[in-house]
Amino acid sequence: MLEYRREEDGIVEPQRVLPVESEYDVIVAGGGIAGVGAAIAAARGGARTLVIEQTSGLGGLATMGLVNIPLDYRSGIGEEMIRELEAVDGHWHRNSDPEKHKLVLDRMVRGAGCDILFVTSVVDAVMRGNAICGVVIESKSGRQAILGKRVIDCSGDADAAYYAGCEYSVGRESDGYVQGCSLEFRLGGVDWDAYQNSECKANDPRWEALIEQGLQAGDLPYPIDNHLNWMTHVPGRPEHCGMDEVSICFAHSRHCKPLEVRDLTRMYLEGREQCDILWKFIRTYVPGFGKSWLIDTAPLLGVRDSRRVLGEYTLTGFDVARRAKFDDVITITWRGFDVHNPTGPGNQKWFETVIDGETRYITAGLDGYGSSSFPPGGPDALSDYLGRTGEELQDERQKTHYDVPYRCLVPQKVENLLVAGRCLSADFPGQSATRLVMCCNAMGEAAGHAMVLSLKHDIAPRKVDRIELQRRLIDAGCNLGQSERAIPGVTD
Amino acid sequence: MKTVYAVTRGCTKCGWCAHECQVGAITVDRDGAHIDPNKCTGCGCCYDNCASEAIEKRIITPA
Ligand SMILES: Cc1cc2nc3c(=O)[nH]c(=O)nc-3n(C[C@H](O)[C@H](O)[C@H](O)COP(=O)(O)OP(=O)(O)OC[C@H]3O[C@@H](n4cnc5c(N)ncnc54)[C@H](O)[C@@H]3O)c2cc1C
Ligand code: SF4
Ligand code: SF4
Repeated sequence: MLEYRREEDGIVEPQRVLPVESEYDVIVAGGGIAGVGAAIAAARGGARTLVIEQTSGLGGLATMGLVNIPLDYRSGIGEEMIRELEAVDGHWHRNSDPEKHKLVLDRMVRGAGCDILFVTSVVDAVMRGNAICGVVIESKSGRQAILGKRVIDCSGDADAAYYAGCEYSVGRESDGYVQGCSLEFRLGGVDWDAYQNSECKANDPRWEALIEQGLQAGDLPYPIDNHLNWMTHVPGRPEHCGMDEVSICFAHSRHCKPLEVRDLTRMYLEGREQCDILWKFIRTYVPGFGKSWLIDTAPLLGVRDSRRVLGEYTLTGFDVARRAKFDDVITITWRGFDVHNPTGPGNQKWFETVIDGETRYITAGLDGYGSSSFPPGGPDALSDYLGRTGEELQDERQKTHYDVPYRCLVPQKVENLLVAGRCLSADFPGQSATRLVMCCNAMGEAAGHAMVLSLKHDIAPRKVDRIELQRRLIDAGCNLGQSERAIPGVTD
Repeated sequence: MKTVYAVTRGCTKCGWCAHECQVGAITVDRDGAHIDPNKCTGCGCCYDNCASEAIEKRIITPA
């Protein structure tokens, strides 16, 4: 038993010796979709690799969060993952079966020779000077240390990077609020064909009129959101008695503080109450859902953004809007802005900035008009990155992708550490665009390969030669946009 | 007989289909996506990738 001493500003923890549970070449903190990419790439590259995950399964938001809609480019490990899902009848259109996805990921990660620790949280970083050399974990087995030559932070919240002393930002530049958080829910017993062929799908696909009706009738006590965000349809198979399953992104908490446990608890409580209101509304109002039932709400809250680590480069909203290309590209993405209003209902596919003293509302293309929360002046106030508006506004998204550079994974100051996934180095609008499931997976894969090279040459990850890394990624089947343009030193 | 694809219900203007289409058959404007049946080769990429399942497969039999 340890003796804790009470002092004025808290409790003094007595000094203790932490048992070293194990030692690895690469530790991956967080087994979400980015962590899975990192772990598989590192382990296949010959590094002894461990992935540490606080929940009971792999995939993070993409599985435990019921965000079963893995969008963006498929290449490398991501493409393989989709193939594995298809082989078990677990993927349709853009949607995955979250339960099958978990199992596919278990098998892929273990198949790569990577060790896993579930229900284990990373709670501190072990440092040697400014280099990370391990993590402190807490689990059923108590508080222990695990040493690692390299650490990849894929915790979404950049927990390991935070404990290692990295600089970071949280939330919108103006007030620090992150995007609205969503607890997903899943309905069974849906007749999808009836919905697909309904007037509602044809004329009110985002349910704006329906929500208005529900509010008038008192079936919705308040506008939880002013439109349906998305639905993923997993078709009825024989084992589902032919009935369709649908996951729905509709519930929202606002003014969120996802790094504070009291507020996380508030959001789970609020989310489950909202889901209860919403699914009953859907069953009553939406064609094809009349016999549906609530299967579950997500075990993991849908936190869209939290810490964004300050890296050697910060990907900006402007980079997204102008479809920026970088010499040190490690993956590409296609997405425009997608900001779930931090403080009120609605969705913003634009960001506010000041150019030459004038306030501008920048969008990546015509999807800006698909916003449900517009800037002052409405849709006509939207402009592209060159200030063109109205009929002149250019849809850059339809022309080309943009790059995520390696430098966005390399934190300033701390050595032997990379970050990948939604905690990459980006500003608020930039992160809102780069967070798609497949893009996070590809960032993880790139980080895993980078660590293999850094170990092989015994150099810091920030010193890894980008050309060697890019060649390796291309050999592994990754899409760096090489078919669209020459990458200097690699494909030219 | 020819398979073509058409945007029929609930397009959210996300633009993904236009990006996927390798033959430039799709344009997206303020009203949503439109597929030019004359350019469409029937590859199905847009159909597979529309997250809103807004695209429909159609079999056209020439008259
Ligand atoms: C509601 C919602 C809707 C979305 N819709 C879409 C969509 O339609 N299409 C799309 O492509 N993307 C969508 N996204 C984005 C996408 O789901 C995420 O950006 C992506 O899955 C993030 O992956 P990640 O691995 O970076 O982070 P996460 O999935 O957050 O994974 C982090 C993992 O680390 C674990 N972890 C955290 N802290 C610790 C710790 N201290 N110790 C150990 N483990 C830890 C977590 O349990 C988790 O498993 C959506 C996101 C949300 C929230
Ligand atoms: S992918 Fe679907 S929702 Fe998006 S623009 Fe095309 S048809 Fe519309
Ligand atoms: S089916 Fe293929 S060719 Fe036709 S519009 Fe869709 S993507 Fe283009």
